[in-house]
Amino acid sequence: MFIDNLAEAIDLLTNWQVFAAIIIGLVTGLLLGAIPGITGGVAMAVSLTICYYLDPIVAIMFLSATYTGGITGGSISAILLNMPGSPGSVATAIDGFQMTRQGRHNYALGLALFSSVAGTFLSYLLMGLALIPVTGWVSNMGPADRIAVAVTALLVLAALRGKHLLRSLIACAFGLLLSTLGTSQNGVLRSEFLDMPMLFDGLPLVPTIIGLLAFSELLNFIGKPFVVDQSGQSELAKPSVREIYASFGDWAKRWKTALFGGLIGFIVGVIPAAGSSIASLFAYGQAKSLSKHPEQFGEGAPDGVVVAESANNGSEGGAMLTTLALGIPGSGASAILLSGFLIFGLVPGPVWIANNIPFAYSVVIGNLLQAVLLAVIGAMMVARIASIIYVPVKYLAPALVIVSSAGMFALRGSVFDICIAWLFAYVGYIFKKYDYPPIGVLLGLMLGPTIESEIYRIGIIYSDDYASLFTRPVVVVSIVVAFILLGLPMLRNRKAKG
Amino acid sequence: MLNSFSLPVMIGAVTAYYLYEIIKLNSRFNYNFVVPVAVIILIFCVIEVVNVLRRREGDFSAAIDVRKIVNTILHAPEVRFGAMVVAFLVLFDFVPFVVLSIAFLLLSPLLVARDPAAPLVSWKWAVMSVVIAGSTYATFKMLLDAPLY
Repeated sequence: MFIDNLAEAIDLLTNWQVFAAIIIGLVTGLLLGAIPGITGGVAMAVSLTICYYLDPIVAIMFLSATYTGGITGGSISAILLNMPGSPGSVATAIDGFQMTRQGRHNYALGLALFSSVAGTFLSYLLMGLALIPVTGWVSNMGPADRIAVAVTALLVLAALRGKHLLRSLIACAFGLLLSTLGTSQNGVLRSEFLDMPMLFDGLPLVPTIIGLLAFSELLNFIGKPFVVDQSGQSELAKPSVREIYASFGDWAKRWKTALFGGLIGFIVGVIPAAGSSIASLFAYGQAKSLSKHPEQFGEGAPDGVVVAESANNGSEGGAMLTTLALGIPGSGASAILLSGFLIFGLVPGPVWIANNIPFAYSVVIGNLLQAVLLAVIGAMMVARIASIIYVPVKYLAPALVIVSSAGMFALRGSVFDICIAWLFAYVGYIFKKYDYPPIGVLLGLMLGPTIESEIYRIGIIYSDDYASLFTRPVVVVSIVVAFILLGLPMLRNRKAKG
Repeated sequence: MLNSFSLPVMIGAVTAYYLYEIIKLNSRFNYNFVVPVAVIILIFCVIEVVNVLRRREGDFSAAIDVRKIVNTILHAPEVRFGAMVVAFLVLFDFVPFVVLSIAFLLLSPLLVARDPAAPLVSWKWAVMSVVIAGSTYATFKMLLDAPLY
């Protein structure tokens, strides 16, 4: 049975379009991810509309390759400029930039690239091994458990992502409210909000994602001549492909560190909303505390780059496991990936996996292949990517706007979708400016329908015994986690006030 | 124009209006989910407004200072860029997509660049604009055969 599924999965992948999608996705991700502020998630959001025209497996591979490329691309600007291209590369910049100052930038770039490859490979390998057992466990969950997990995901996001807990909670709850626009889960027209018939089916997901995650980031750049301010920057160090590959021997000696980073990244990635930045910073902290030479961390320690990069890429497989098994996106990138599935009417979760095991395996194998291709394409691209970092905003922003807008319009031939994207671009921009995380709105929007439909189910199943809901282990654990997540920041605030 | 004070007020106002619409419809489905969520948002927004006022973080006078708001609208590059997008959307029904895109790409540097003395467009960018708009149009036209005007 396993062999049959595997053979079918490989058959799905033996298609030139899959290879082309992986290569184009990696290049797109590397190029855009290297630009500080344009994360892998933004690159995915900009490319999302193109997925409508692809086969499901090709589209999913394209999106995940864009994300992998985006995370790896983020490390380039982190190492060369001390400006992380994505939040996941913050830990990489600590030692990576020190190495650049010491003239060892090619060595640092090589370590980062091979660690990214190892992290991606390891995390998808673990995901492949864990997928069926986890799915079996998830399929035993009842409606109360599913609500508990979804609400916990929102609380984790609120506790970890925002500077202000209350503002993050408002953002998440606002997302939940937005998910109720239009028709209810029972097919009843809930409201005629602003008398707009276009909203009777709810908010269109893809334009909302593009607005919240991509256009809002572009708005951050408006008014600046360059994404990266060149004043005060020393001349950009020139990468050399040959020297990058030459670092492989030394990287191989540090395989234990890469394995450690990848494992931690995977485990943190499984936690909804934790994301690559927390994974890499946590792994970096652990590696430093376990190291025989902790004093070298922060001064250009190669192990610092290895553990940070393997952890941030390692989080990808963990996040994918949560997204596929539970249908809960853990980050902006996995929310976009989830919407990539939804575009084709595929609803990730235990039922979907049980009926589509070959497809799930093909996602795993495709990503393993992607990790190998990253080693080749990444090294070849690094030298060229470095120059795109100084691209003028006046060219970058309008070009991305035109490409995304055309894609959105082509989907339904509706200008309304572009209007929605721009409305949410400003919502995301203003929310971010005042520490209301836009990703909270998006996660609320995506989890709202699940929570709502499970509430109806609970109403039917437990109508005469609501107390029994609190005897379920998942619910009890979620309540404890919620108390910790909400209670700790409050205690910390009280302590800070004295 | 906006500050830490006005944002929770705006979120609360939108939520209150939506809640009013929901209650007006009086469907029991809404009372299971929408109403509790809306009430939670309203409570959180009130607490946040109180917090902001207590920390003296938000400038209440700035939120109602019409002259300052108008100044911000006129001078903020984000708003100018938004105005250009709105113009793009309004003209979408009348002007062919490719022409509109080229115009947008050519004109947007003027609105995006902070330095008014900076050159508006170069020949290189003009050619690039035609290539970007043309290839985007061609790609989506080919993929869907969509009527992109």
